[in-house]
Amino acid sequence: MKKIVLLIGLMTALSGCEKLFFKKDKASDHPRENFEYLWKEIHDKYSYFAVKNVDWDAIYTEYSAQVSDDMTDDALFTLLGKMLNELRDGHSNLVSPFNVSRYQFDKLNQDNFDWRLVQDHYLPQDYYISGPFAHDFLLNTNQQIGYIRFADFDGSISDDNLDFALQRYAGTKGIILDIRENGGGYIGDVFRLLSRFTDGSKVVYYSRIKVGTGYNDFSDPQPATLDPHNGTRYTGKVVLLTDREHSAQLPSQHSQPKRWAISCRSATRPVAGSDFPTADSFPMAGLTGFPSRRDSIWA
Amino acid sequence: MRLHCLLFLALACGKSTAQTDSSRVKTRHPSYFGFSAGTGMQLFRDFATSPLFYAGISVNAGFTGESENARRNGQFRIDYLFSAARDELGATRSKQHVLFFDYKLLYRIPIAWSDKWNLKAGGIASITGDIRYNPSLQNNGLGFEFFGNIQPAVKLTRDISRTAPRPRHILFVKYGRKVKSRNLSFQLNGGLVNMNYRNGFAYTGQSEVINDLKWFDRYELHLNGLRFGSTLALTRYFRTGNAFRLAYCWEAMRTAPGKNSFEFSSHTVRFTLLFRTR
Repeated sequence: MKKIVLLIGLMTALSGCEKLFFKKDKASDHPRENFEYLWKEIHDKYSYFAVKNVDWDAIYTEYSAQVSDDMTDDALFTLLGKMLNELRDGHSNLVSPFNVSRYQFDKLNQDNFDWRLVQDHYLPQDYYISGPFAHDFLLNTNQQIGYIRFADFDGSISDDNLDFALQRYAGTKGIILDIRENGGGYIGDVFRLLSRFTDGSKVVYYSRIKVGTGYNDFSDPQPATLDPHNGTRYTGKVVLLTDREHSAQLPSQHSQPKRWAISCRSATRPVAGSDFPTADSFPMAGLTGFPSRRDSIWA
Repeated sequence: MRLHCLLFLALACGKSTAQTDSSRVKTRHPSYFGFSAGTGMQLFRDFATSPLFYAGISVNAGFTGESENARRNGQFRIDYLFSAARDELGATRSKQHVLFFDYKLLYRIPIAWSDKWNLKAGGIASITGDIRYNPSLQNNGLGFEFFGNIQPAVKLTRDISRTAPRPRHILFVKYGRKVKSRNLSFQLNGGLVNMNYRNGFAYTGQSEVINDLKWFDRYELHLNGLRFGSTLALTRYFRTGNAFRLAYCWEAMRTAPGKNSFEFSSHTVRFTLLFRTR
């Protein structure tokens, strides 16, 4: 019986040993440990230091001096959020239960879009809503110009939506595609939509990915190829309306509207618009959990 | 409840006529297939997405095929585990599905302690697949990886059968403990060859971005890491040859330390019904 008890004791002891195999718990209440962790994660994974000419080491020096052991959660969060905003990146946020830090790239320019204005003055009241598209013939154009509003790359585009809309405007002189204030979303929507406006396969941009912790550790560029859709396509002229924030001159927004705009410029179909961007990619090699014990914070 | 009754009825009586035949009881390589179910605790941490531990309750179900006698123990196991875990701050949740495939082969080591003790050693080949979903990780919400391990294993078994009835009585009320065939075993295994197939430096590849969607985009095969496991099991054999097993299983595995290292452990209590096939 003693041996059996010994056996059970051994089992229990071994089962409790798993922490020996794991790294020590990183969760910490200490402001400096949290600061160091976040700075290092960004240092290792962020992609745009060179593009944006951000000296992350200098930022360490500047912000490290402001960290103190007696900081409140709120003060630490505010400081870290401010440091993150030095990246000028709309996709790099700190998230906690009490606040979300954000770089408000959309406030860099005057707001030049009002959906209500479009509805009141350019579309009939009973305009169509086909899946994610709000569309109709533009008023006072004798049904010669179609208007399609695409407000969100939410992955909900279907062939039925597009077939209906594009067949409806097939005989027009052109259509206006309006993606202003589109918050982004699913990359697949970009290709699904663009495939309706191209005649042949085209490389629309190149993409590379972070492969190491060095500032310039990237993979070789890979081409993104757009193939034409086999069914209904639009062959008229297309005017694309985008936000200024999607321009390369303001590289703070890295999302599907921007990829859409880049891809449009690369397609041979005549397109119009302003401030077309030239480059884009995901800003981080991975989403980074943050080890603050006090609150869950995500960068 | 009705299902439980039926299962136990099947265990106790299912083949009683045939298996009271002494020739079957003396089969040299009794074989079983079995179904298991259980529950437990699970813990994991994926540094590629978060430095925080995720812990939660798990449930599991599985199928096993095995043969065991005094000389040899072979077992094939498929086990599915589902867990709902929360990070240690309780702010985010992750659901995890894990599939275990194991093949074990152990042979007796002839150490003459006593007839009641049996020590076997051999190896276990394991493949484990893991899919996790954590919506708070947004673009990196879905994670999956595979682990392949070859593990030396030892198993110590103690026969704790009651070979003679023990009649008892309290005043004039007679009762007794009947003959029981059962054993208690403890198995320990550790990875000798450890492989893992995980994401590379970037958690999410760019195949979707370049309109060429691929599974396992930029995944990398590594020969590193650790894996350990132990199982404490009490097996009770019925006269029919069928058996019931209650086991406590612990498994822990990790990849090599690094920027994207992954750590996982599970503690499960597992009930298995074993049906003898020969």
